[in-house]
Amino acid sequence: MDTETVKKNANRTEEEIQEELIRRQKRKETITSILPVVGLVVLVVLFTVLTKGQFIGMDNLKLLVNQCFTMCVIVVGGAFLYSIGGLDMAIGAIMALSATVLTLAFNAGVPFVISFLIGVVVSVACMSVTAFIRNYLKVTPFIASLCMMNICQGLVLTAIASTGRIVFNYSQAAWVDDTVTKIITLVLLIFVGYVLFNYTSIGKSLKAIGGNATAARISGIKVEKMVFIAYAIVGITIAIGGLFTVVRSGVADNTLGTGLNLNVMTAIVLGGFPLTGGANAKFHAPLIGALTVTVLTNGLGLLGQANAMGYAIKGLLFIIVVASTYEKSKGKLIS
Amino acid sequence: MKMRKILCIVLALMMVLSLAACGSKDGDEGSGGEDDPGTNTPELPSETVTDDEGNEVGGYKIGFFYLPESDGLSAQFHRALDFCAQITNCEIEYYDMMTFSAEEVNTAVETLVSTGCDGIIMISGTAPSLYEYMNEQGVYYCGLTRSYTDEVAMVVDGSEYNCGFLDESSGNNYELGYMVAESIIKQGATKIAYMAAATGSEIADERVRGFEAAAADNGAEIVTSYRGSDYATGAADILSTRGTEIDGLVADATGDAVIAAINSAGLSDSILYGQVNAPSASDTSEYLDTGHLAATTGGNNTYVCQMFMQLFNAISGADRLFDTDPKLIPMIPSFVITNSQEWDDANTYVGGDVPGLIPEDILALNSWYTPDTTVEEKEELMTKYTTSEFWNLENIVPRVKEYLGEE
Repeated sequence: MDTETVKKNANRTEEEIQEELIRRQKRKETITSILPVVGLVVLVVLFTVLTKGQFIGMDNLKLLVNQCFTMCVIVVGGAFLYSIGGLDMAIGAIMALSATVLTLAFNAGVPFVISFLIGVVVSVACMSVTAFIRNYLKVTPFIASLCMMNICQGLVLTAIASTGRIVFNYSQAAWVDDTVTKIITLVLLIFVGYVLFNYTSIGKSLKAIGGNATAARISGIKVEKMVFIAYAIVGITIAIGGLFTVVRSGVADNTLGTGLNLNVMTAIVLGGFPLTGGANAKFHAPLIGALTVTVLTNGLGLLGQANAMGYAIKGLLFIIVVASTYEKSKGKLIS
Repeated sequence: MKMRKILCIVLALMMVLSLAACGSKDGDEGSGGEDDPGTNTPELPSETVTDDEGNEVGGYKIGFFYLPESDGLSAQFHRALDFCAQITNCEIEYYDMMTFSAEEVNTAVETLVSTGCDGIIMISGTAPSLYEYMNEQGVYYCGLTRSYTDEVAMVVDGSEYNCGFLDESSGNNYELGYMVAESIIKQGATKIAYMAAATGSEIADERVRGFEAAAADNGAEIVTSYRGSDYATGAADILSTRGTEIDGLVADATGDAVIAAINSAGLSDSILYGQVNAPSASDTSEYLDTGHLAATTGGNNTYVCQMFMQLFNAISGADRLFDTDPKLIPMIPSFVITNSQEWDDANTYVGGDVPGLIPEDILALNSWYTPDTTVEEKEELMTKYTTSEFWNLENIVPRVKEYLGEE
């Protein structure tokens, strides 16, 4: 604190100082919540102008739904996980494993819904293992997720070893890839997630754990149980994402889920969601981030720019947003 | 707080500036790879070719997605397609992929359709939904049989936008495996090992059959083998357990991991190594010179010209070739290379500005340019290009040299 500020504060009452601190905090929160939305709006307007309206044409809007769907589904669950600061690198691999098992079951004649539920069980089980390692073996969840990622990749490679890929019976489930189905699914998921996150004890407890796990425990929150619930929720959304992805791609192979981890993290960050979680975690933030990532990729593609530029811009934005919003007082970025 | 405000403003400015700088996308498309001298622009046909209604043939936009041009094979693909585009007055729209995940393939195709491509060369793509989308959008496509699954067949068979699938299992892979193995056997190997992708991979299985047949036909013994995806580990295992027994190794591998493993084991002087896919664009010549590599293949870029012409025929309304479901098209193969001169020739006269086929070879496949030949004759011609009698360096190099005016 500089000399002028010290002199200034010396003449003010404690209440005035407190009020100013609260005003600053509110201003910061406002900027953090508004800026991603403003950024998204700016991008949409910019691309609309540059593509002479093609960006907001019906054909391209359908493409946007298809391209952002999987990420939006997963970040709905990701909001719960990241609210406790749970950086996870296994999301893509678990999605691949879930989709592979689901495909094997469906191709073997198991009814569609049961096959999907089997995929959910696989996904939730994998995330539960990470939660268990975090809770009881006290291993950093980032490291635990790296191990789970390797395990899942190995299982997928084993499952597809004989053919290199497993073709999904698309003709028997083509309705899943319909735009209307996706919109309905996404709206429902967002509604359920929003209610759970903001209006139930689950969301409040998770944010408290993200803020300070010790304080949360002392105040009566069953931390381990809540962590399991967070991982289970994201496991469910991963399975849903896996189902739609394998239907869209037509095969289950080891490239499924590639790049998903980074895209989810980028979406979380670009939306203004704190990577360390806590009280400032807003449910809508990852969704805004997911849309931003998709709009950026889609818009640059329409302008004929190399895909590589999209990666470069996303990486740059990621660094800038993290650097400008990371709470240094909390210490480590990755817990 | 001030610092954060400044950073936020800088962020917004950067986004605006970087996107505003995007602007026009003209100028970069079809410019060729980094090492493309761009000195051999083919001559356009002297007369304008028109269809039955008097419309000028050409001017179409063909989409292509693959790795960036920094990849050697990608650069060769770019040059081959630029050549085809120039002689037919067309334009290629390139989309660079970072990975070949299904999601990225979907995004690539959707983006190319959005930018107005009339046809797309499908190097990859097993999603039935993708072909449904192209059918709906009226975009033509030509792919490879690796993508032609039963589910895809249900969508593409009977579609007017389906321009066919190059048949990768038409014997070429078997021949490649056979030729590479035979080459190292003729160079003196009698006890060989082989490495290939896991059983069940159609391409790998065909090449392994080729390895085994070459060994049987030439009196060599197969001592051991590895089937899997980790060639570095597989090679290390083979060399540590049977390295002193074998004098030849063939692999359906990519990169130079196996060469590195042989060097690490100190066996590069005692083992003749053949790799179906060339290790790298820049080092293969040296590997061939130093003996680290005894045989490899080249000429595996020209098939994109076939795919281009299938699309061009369909979009221009010309006679279509191999137009009966399933639309399987014989594929121009690779050929064996055993020394650095052959490698350099392959890079220059097949992977260079001219893709091994001269303009008259390519335009002979289109009925607007060559109205005096029948569909059957054109199909025979394309099939002829795929035979080892035509498609070998001894035949290709003089023809391309003559076209380029070189002695």
